[in-house]
Amino acid sequence: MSFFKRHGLRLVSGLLLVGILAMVAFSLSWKNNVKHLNTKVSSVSKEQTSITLQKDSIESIVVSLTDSVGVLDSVTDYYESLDFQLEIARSQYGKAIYALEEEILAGDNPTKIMYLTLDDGPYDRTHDFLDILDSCSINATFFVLGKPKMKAVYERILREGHLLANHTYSHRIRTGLYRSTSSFIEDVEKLDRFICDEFGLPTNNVVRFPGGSYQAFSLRRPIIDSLHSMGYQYVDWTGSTHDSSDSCLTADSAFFNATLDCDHDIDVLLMHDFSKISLAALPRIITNFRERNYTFFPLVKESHVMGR
Amino acid sequence: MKSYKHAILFIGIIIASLVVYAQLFMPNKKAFEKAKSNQEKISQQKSLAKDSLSIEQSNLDSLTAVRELKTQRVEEFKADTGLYWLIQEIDKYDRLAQRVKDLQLQ
Repeated sequence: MSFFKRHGLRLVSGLLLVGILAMVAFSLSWKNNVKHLNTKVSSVSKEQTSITLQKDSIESIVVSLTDSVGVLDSVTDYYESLDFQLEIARSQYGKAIYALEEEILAGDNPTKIMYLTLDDGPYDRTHDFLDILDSCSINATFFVLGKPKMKAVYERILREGHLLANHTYSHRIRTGLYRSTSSFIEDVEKLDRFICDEFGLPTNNVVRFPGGSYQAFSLRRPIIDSLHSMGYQYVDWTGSTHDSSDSCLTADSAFFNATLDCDHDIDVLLMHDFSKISLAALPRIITNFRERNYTFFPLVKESHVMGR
Repeated sequence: MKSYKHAILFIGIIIASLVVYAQLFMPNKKAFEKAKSNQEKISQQKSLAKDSLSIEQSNLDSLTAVRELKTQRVEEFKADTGLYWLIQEIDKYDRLAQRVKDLQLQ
């Protein structure tokens, strides 16, 4: 007790001194730590800034990528809509032709319509027909067969504004085409597949029976019914140069055959693009029809001449 | 006299410890705590930035893949010759329809 009385103040002072020293030690250590932490914070902050910059640059790439994906989408949509657009364009032409024919048949329009059709091609001679048609600015309908080696001719027909129509793939009149409805239909479908594979296009859904629809005899009606159920129409002709039936044919007689046969308001003229004689007669035939106020158009299934 | 000296020394030490506490100990403690909290905040911010970077990166990856696919599809379309003929054919029918309409207008 007397020890505390004697040394109490010294002891407390000593403890306080120790406390001061401890505070100084802590303070110095915290000071060091603060320095260390601040360095760390500044380096983390730099990292964070660089990450943010990276994120921003990626964000801007994402925005531009989104834009380019949008553009690609619209391009793809456009390409994918082309089939549909073709259907619309074709049906608009069909409707326009139907309306014009209605006017003509009602006597409200003095124009006459000539559907010039060329069967059995393409041949090498088809080029000569195309030259004449091109020089006269006429669009015709080519009832083609399946001839894989004649791709360039099909291309020229398409490129010069004419239409491809279906004349069956093989034209095998005497070797099985008219054996049954299905053999005929298969040949029609084969030609459409061929054109679609080569050019990505359907034909104009108009079929002409090889030799004419009466060549099918008792199968005529069932075939026509099948064609209709598949969305096809068929057409024969109202006039012809007789280039496949008359062995003594001359250019003059071809001209007279065509111009005398076709004397309606709406006509379908048949010729074959293998025929040298029809080729020779064609310029005169065109001039004659033009003088008689005919306008030439390619055939569509909406025309009144379907089934004739 | 001796106890008077001791009392003065004692008071001096108390004052010194108050000064050390107020001027050195407290500010350094506060600075340390502030630096620590700053470090935590910036670490959080960094981790958030990292997260959003990885989200953007995965967006970028998936968009790049999508774009590649779409580009391929467009290239396929372009290479498809049918496309050329489809466009030609649409144009052809449009022109024909116009010609027929012109005749109707007459």
